[in-house]
Amino acid sequence: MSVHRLGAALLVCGLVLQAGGAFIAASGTLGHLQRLLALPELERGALAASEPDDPWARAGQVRLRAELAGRSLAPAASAAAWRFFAGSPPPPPGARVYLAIPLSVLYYDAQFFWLPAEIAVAPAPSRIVDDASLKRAAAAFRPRSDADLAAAGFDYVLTARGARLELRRVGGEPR
Amino acid sequence: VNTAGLLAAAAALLTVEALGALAFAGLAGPRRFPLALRLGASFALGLLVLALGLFFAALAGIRPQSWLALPLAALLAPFAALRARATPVPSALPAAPPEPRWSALDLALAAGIALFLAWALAGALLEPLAEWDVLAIWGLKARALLAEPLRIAPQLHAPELAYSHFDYPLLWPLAMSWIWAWCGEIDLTAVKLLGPAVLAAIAAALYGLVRERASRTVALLASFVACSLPMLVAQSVRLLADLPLGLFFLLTLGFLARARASDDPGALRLAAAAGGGLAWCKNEGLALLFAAALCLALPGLTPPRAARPRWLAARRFAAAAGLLAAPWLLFRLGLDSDYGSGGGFSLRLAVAQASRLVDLVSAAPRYLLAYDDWLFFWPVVALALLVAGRRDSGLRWLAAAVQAPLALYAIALVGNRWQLGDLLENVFSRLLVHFAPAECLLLALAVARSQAKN
Repeated sequence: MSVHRLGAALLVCGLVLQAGGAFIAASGTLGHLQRLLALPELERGALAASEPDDPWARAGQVRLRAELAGRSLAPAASAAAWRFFAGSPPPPPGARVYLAIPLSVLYYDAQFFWLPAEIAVAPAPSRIVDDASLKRAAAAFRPRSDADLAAAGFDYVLTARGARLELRRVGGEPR
Repeated sequence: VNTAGLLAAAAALLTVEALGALAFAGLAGPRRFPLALRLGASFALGLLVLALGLFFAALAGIRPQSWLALPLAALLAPFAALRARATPVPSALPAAPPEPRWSALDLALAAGIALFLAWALAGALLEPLAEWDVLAIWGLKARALLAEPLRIAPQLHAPELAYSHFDYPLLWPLAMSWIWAWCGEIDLTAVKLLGPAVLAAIAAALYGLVRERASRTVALLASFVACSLPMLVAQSVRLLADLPLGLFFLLTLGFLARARASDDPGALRLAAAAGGGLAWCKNEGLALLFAAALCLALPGLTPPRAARPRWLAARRFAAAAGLLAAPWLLFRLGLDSDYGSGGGFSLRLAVAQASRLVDLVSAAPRYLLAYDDWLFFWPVVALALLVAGRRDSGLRWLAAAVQAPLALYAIALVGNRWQLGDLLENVFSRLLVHFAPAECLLLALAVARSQAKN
């Protein structure tokens, strides 16, 4: 057998393996699809927002997959954040919301879901490029009471009560 | 599931296809192209037409609205009508052998393609938009463009939103805002139709590009391999912007290869349009565009007698693609592109951190051989090139054009501020998505070539 024929035979074998592997890989996501089918939309979104729980969200992340292999996982913060933002009424357009928990996942979600409300961790605008810069910006403003927030021009505050996120009017009750 | 939202999104996607079909007809000239290629390429061109149209409308203070499809169609229709009057002539490529009957393998491959597209569609519709990258970057821009005209949208300038990368191009956000404009609300499920639509366009374009030169079985195989790649399915489900970039790169090189083989000016115009789409899709598109133009002109990849026409073709291609990209590139000059510690590239850093190249090369196999993402795809592509690439000059050119941007990507990764391990974990596999559809074309043509030798 010539080298060329051997190469061509190997190529055919490779393509057969590729095609077979594709079906096996797809069947691996069947369980995930079935799980999604059984859930209401809000829970499907929360599942999709959680990298450890969603095979498509983990795609391409080789290190993450290795770290997650064989471990039982707590629900990701991103899932709780998505559930809260997609399931809660947004603040009125133009409202200024103080984010009391300076986590990038909350900050990014709030900016998307609540546009055109203004979300901030401090009264003065600062450059936010990642989690670290968000925490630095938040550290510059330490309100002790709702009066401080009102004085800084905030209408609402996003905070946590226990494990639950909550949006409330400055000086008022949760919405 | 909101049925009305899904129907509105489907109608929005049909307008994308219709606008693209007009653009295709206007650019293609009298030569015939396979129907599948027309369909796949039309979707990509429709995205580009929409991006250009909505961008200029937004600059004029008009937000994305469904009625804008009419003036855009009216602008394109005269060009399409002008070309339609010309007498059609057959493709200048040597005709692939006619195959009136579908073999059992053909039918199995076609069923496999349908199955994987349905799989991606089911995943996309069962998961509302939740990928944080899409929400924080593309989705935020899409919402901002719907809310306010581009010239005043604070979301493109406010420092507290710098994480959303102001200088990222607007094709994908504009496509999302187009769907939401048709839905009349921010529907987080209906917008997901875009992802599987791009995957279907890749499958159709690949089939058409390969079918012009090879058997139906090989063309179906190329489509099947592309739409069954787990990484591509995941990207279409998650609505990431790397997949449309992969579509534009496939079309750019596919049409350029056709133009090289047949001196078809229509194919060169279509390649230039797809090249313009690269720049509108992602910043990496500029590297892909530059590399494609370079490979078209490079003397080592061109037979000596044909050097001058190829050089002219390269200039025409670069000028037309550059003209389409220019509005965005000029607008981008006024945007802040400094990501601070959030990443970003600097040439000075690339020189200072040159030793990262060794780490990059040693880490690459971990991602290239990741079975969960790619199965055996990259080794199979390498094998196909070894088997068939050496003696075929067309294949050699395509192989060079597909791989050339890798050098530019490597420089960008070396000169990035992020810690390399984290950077690769986040972007390496996504960057491979840009190349995967074009690699499928290469793989199929190599398989066809190896069949011919046997």
